[in-house]
Amino acid sequence: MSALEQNPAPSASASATPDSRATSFQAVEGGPEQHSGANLLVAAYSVLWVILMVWLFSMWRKQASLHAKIDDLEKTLDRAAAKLEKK
Amino acid sequence: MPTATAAPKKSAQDAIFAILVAVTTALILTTIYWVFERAPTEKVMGIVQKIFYFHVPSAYSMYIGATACFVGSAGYLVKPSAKWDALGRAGAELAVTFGAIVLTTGPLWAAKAWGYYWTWDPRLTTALLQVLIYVAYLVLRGFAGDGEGERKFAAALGILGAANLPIIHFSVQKWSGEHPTVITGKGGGLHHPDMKIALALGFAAFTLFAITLLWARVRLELAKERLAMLEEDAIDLGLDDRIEA
Repeated sequence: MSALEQNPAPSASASATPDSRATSFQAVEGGPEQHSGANLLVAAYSVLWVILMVWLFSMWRKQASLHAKIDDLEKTLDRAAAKLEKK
Repeated sequence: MPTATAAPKKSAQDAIFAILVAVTTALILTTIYWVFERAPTEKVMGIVQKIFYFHVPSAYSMYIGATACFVGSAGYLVKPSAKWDALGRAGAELAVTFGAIVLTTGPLWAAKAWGYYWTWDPRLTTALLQVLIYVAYLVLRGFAGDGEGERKFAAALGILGAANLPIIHFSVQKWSGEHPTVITGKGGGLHHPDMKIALALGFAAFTLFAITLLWARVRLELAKERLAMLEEDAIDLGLDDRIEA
């Protein structure tokens, strides 16, 4: 009989006994760094531009709404002028 | 004739605005180059310290927005006019925008430097309060109508917001807390010349950027106001057939 047959690897069902399951999560104290400085820098830089772009986009939308109202007013004036011509 | 004098004035304004945008863009690009290529990495914090070069100028831009809101609000309460109101509203938007940048870039730096994103430090708390005041201002202007009463109430809020500015600024010196004091109070300052240049460029770029955005926003608000008046005139003259119908 080979050594493998004598000491078979524990199967998944055998190792996951109720006693060996994780029952709580604990935080690491000290140890290696949890946040990469480079990632945080990239995140901060991205956030900066995203916020500014959102504001610029909102300004662009307000301007678009203003143009729509101007178009509306122009049409109204054109209609009024056409009415006057008929008279 | 009003159009004959208004046209050259407007084209001069457009030219100044175009120059401002060009100079601001050049300064922002130079700042990015200096921060990432020339300024050395900080000895203790490492690369994350580079957040400082746009976190602090953003806070300064928030002050510019708050000051503009204060000037506009005070002006509106003394002599109500569309110009003062536009300045107050644009200033509040600027303060919220740059305040949001300050309140997100700061915690990202803190995650590395302090090990946590947020603490109820005096400066952090007062800065959050400041942004919330201007958010309240904008919510009021956005949802409570655009009447004289609402504008005056918002102007009072704009003045209240400015009262918080010195509290934010001196909170680090008066009440200890954890927020660094590098360039203010008894701070040790920046030790490398390239660090100083990066910060100076950041201040210059963000100041011009804030002024550019403020100007664009005020112009938009004034155009909106003029259009509303023209619409009212059209209705009064019986030209608007939507009302007739």
